[in-house]
Amino acid sequence: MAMDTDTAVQLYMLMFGNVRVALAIVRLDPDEPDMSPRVVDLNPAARKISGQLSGDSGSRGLDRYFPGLFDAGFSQICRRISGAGGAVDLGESMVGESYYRTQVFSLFNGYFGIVFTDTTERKRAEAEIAQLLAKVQRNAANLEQRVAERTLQLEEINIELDSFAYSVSHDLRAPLRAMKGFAEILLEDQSLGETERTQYLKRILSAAQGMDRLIQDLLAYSRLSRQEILLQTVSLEKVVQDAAQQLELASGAKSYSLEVTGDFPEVIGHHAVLVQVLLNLLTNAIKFIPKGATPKLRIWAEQTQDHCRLFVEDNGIGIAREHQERIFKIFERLHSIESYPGTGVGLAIVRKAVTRLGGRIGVDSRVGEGSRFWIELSRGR
Amino acid sequence: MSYVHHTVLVVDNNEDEAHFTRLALQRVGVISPVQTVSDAEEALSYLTGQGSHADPESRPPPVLLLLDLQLPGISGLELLAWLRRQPVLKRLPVIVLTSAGEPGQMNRAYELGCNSYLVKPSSFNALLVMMQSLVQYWLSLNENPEVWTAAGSLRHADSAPEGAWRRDEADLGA
Repeated sequence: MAMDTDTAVQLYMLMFGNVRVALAIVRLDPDEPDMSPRVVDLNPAARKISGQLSGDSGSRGLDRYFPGLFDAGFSQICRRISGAGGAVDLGESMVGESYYRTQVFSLFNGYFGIVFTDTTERKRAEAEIAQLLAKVQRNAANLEQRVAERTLQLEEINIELDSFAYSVSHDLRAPLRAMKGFAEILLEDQSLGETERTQYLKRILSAAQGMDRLIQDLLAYSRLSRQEILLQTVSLEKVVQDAAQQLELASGAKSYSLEVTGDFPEVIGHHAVLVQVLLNLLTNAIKFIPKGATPKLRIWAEQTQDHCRLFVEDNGIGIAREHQERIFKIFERLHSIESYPGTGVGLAIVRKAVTRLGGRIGVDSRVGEGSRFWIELSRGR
Repeated sequence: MSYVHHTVLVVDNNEDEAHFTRLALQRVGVISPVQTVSDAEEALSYLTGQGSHADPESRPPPVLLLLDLQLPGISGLELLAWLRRQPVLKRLPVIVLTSAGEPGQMNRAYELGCNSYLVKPSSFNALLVMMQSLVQYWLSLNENPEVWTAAGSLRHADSAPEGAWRRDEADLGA
């Protein structure tokens, strides 16, 4: 397409002046090739960038117009492409808060064109994406860790369940085997005397009773796990009173002394559950006693700002340090059923209950020197 | 067949089960009174003649130990491990007689050196059959090791011809 020079100049000037891409025309001084190229012309977009960079528009050096964008090596690059032609992408530079990408290409005769692109927005978007990505990754890692933790928990629960099922079946089968065995002997052995027959029948009966107790305890334990417990402010004084009264009924003819000392605050808990907890501890205290000794029990409370500890102390047989954690586990029994009867569920119930009430339980004890159980609850407000 | 000088020591925490084992052993001809202890600690004092078992009259030396693994306090496996560490008592044949246990329990018992592992049957008649085979093998067929002196106390480890065996052991280790 033919065009006269005037029209062409006018058109190119307009284009240079109006295009939104920042353009500069510079010239490398052949006498001083190491100096920064001199600015021949800038289009308005390039002036704007120079303004943003607080460039010195009165000077002629490119490095002064665009401080920070062109380093000392720029002249060398220009010299290199002035012979061979072509363009060089100078990459991205950060000046202040903004990013610019610059390209330089050789025109002719020591003149060069420079294209500036403001990449600040894109850069910001990229940073934002990177940040979001990092956050996603952090979340994913977090999630993964939580999954791992939960899996571990579930595995532990599974192991616990396995051992629970094993213990339940073992402890339930023992009385069944006894009933079956004695019944077989009773049926088949005609030579048994009356005393032996009665004795065997009594054993069947006591096996059945033991089994019943175990099932009741297991039900109580599982109820505690499932039942909704509404936490309330409870008078610990009333709890102690009620438990003491129930102990009197439960202990039958067994003699013991119970000393209740000091004040009992209000705590966060559940009255009936707490009475059961305390009663279990008290029943244990009068059960695990050296032969012939009279159980001496003492109950008191100590308070801190937020918590209250209820202590139950006895003069019983005590618990060796190495067994003190075990006793709270279900079906753990430190002593033979003959010396100290029980289902092995009582303290497990106590711990489960205290945990459900948001409290803690522990014991200080030495063999032969009695035990001091404590439960810690939040104070009522 | 009856077995006169064959004291069997039963270690069982459950009185009913101990009673069945005792009764079954009697029924299949074990005339020497079957001795029963209810936990590992009592078994220890029985075997070493201490505490309530200091009187040799009250503790005829056992030729066989029937061991339940579910014991309160020191477990049956722990008792077995202790026994196998003793210089002379480690010779005593130990037959585990226990209710079906946790997986791994049986292998552990064999590793610790039990001589046989039996699971308590759920019926008394089955227990009778089991005890019948048990005494036929362990009290009649089997040659029992020397554990006790004629007076009923533990032998000294040195008095037994053990040197050759020790050398073998050393060779195996090398």
